[in-house]
Amino acid sequence: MRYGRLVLEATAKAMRPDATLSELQEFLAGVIRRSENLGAPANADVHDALLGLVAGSARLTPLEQADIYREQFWLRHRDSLDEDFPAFAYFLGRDAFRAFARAYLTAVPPTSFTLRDLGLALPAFADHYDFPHAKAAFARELAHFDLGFITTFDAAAREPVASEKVSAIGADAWPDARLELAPGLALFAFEHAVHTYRSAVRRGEAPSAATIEARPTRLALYRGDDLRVHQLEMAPSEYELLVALRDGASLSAACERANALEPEGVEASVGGWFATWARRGFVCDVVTGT
Amino acid sequence: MTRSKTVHAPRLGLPDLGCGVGLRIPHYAHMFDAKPAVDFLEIISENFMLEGGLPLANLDRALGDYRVVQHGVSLGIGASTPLDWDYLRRLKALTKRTQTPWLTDHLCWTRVPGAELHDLLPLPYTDEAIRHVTERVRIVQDFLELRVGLENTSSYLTYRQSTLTEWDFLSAIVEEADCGILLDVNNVHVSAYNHGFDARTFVASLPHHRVLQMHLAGHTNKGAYLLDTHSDVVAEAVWDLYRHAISMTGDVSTLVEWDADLPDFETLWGQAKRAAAIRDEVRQARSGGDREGDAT
Repeated sequence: MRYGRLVLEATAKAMRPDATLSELQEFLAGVIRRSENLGAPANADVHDALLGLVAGSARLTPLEQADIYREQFWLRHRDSLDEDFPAFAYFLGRDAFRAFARAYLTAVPPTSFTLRDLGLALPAFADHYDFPHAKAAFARELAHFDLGFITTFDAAAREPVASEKVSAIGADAWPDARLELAPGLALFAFEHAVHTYRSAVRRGEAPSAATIEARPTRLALYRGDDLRVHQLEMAPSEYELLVALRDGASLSAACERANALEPEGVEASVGGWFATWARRGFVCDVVTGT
Repeated sequence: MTRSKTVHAPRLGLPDLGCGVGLRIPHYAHMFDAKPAVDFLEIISENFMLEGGLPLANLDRALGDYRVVQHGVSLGIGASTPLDWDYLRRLKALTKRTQTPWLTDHLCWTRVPGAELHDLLPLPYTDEAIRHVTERVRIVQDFLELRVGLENTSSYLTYRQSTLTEWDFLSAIVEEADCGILLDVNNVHVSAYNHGFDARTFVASLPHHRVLQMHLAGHTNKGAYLLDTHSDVVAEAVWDLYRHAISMTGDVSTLVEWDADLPDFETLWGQAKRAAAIRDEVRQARSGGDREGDAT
C-alpha cells in the first residue's frame, strides 16, 4: 500500500515546473515501479504528470522514454531473482515464476544497494504466497534452500577451530562446552528431498517425479575449503544436535535433545560427527567454562 | 600584453594505466592460469563488498598479478536520500584492499526513501542538482581519501526542468567539487543518438584535464533508441569518437566493459588492444605535428 500512496502523493507535486529534486525522484521512482506499460489506461493517473516532467524526443514520447526505465526495472530484478533461485524458478515454470516475482517485488521493494540481497525476504514471502500449484509446500522449501546457497556463499570468513585447541580440552570440560558454528553453516528440516531436485536442475537435467514426493530430509549447507557451497544430508539426530548447538546449548544439553530421536542415544555417534564437522569447518570455536 | 593561461596536470596528476578490461567471472580461470599481460583490470565494487568467501579470494588473486581500479554502480551521488554511510564504510574498506588509485561511479540517482532502483537514472540539469551533487562529492572524496571520477551515463529521457546541457552540467559539477571525470565514450554516443545532440560537442566541451579514465563498450540498437547493454564489440562510431576524445585529453586509462553475452577473453582483450593502438596513433600524430610545428 505504501507504494501506491507514494505515487499518488508525488503526482501533483511533480506536475509543478518547480518540483524539487526529491519530489521529482520520488515521483519517477514510483512510476517506473509500476507493473504495466506506462501508456496503458491503468496508468492514466500519471500521464499528465509525466508529460509535464519528461521532455520526449524526436522519436519517443515522454511516456515511451519513461517506460524504458520501467521495463528495465522489472527485467533486471526478475532476472536477478531467476539467477539466485534456479530450482524454485524451474519448478514454478516461466509464467508462474514471473507472476511470483512481480508480486514479490511489488510487496517487497529492493532496499539494499546490492542485488545479492534482493531475495533475502523471498522465502518468507513464498511462505504466505498463494501458489497456483498443487505442490506449494515443495516450492516453498525450494525457495528456502536456494537462498541458503546465497547466504552461505556470501557469509563472513571465519577460521575453523584449531585441532590443538580441541585436543587440549579435558574430558570433564566437554559436557558444558558450547560450540560456535561457522557463520555460513545453514541447517534445514524439510518434508521433501529438495537437494536432489536442485542438484538435477543445476546439472541441466529434468528432475525425476519421485524427487517431488514427500521424504523428510535434514540438510546442511556449508562453505568448503574451496569456498564453494556444499550440501550434506544428515540423520535427524545429527541435525537436532547441530541445531541445539547453534542455538547456544551446551554439548550435554544438545545431546539430550538429540537423544529424544535416538532410542539408543547419540553418545556413540557424537565423536564421529564431531570429526566430520571439524573436517568440513563447521566448528569455529569450542568455549569451555575454564 | 601576455595572456595568462592556467596549465593543468593531465588526469589530475593521476597515472595512465594503459588499456584494460573488466574482471568478470567467466574469465577467472584464464586470468589466473594464463596471466595475460593486460594493463589493468576494473572491478564492480559492489560485487566485492562482502565479509568473506570466494569473490574476495578471487579478488586477492587478481590483485597479486594486476593493477585493479574500482568502479561502482550504487553510490547514488545524485539521489536526494542521505548518503549511505554503511555503504561508504564498506566501500572504503574495499579501497584499502585494492589500493585503487581512484574511484568511479555514475552521475545519476539510484534510490529514493524505501527503495533501491538498481538503475542509473539521469538528473535534471539544474543549478539545484549541481549544488546537491557537488556537496556530496566533496564529502565522499574526503571520507574515502580518494579522487572520485563521475561517469556520464547513457540516458533515455531528459527533463523539461533542465536549463543546461549535459556537458555543461557535468563540467560544472567536476569543477566545483574538484573531482575527475570517467568519460564513457559509448554513453556519449548512446545519449547523443537518443537525445539528438552532437557527441563531439559533448567531448570537446569538457575540462579535459579532469578526465582520469575512459570507458568503451558495445550497445544495442533498439530502433527508436540505443540501449547501453555492454553486450557487443565497440561500434565503429564509438571508436571514432574515442579517437577524437583521446586527441583532446592525451593518454588516459581506458577500460573496455563487456557484461552480457560475454565472449572469450581474447576477443575482449582484442578490444582493449584496439584502444591501445588508437592511443598510439593519436600520440604519434601529435608528436609528428609538434615536430612540424617546431620546424616552421
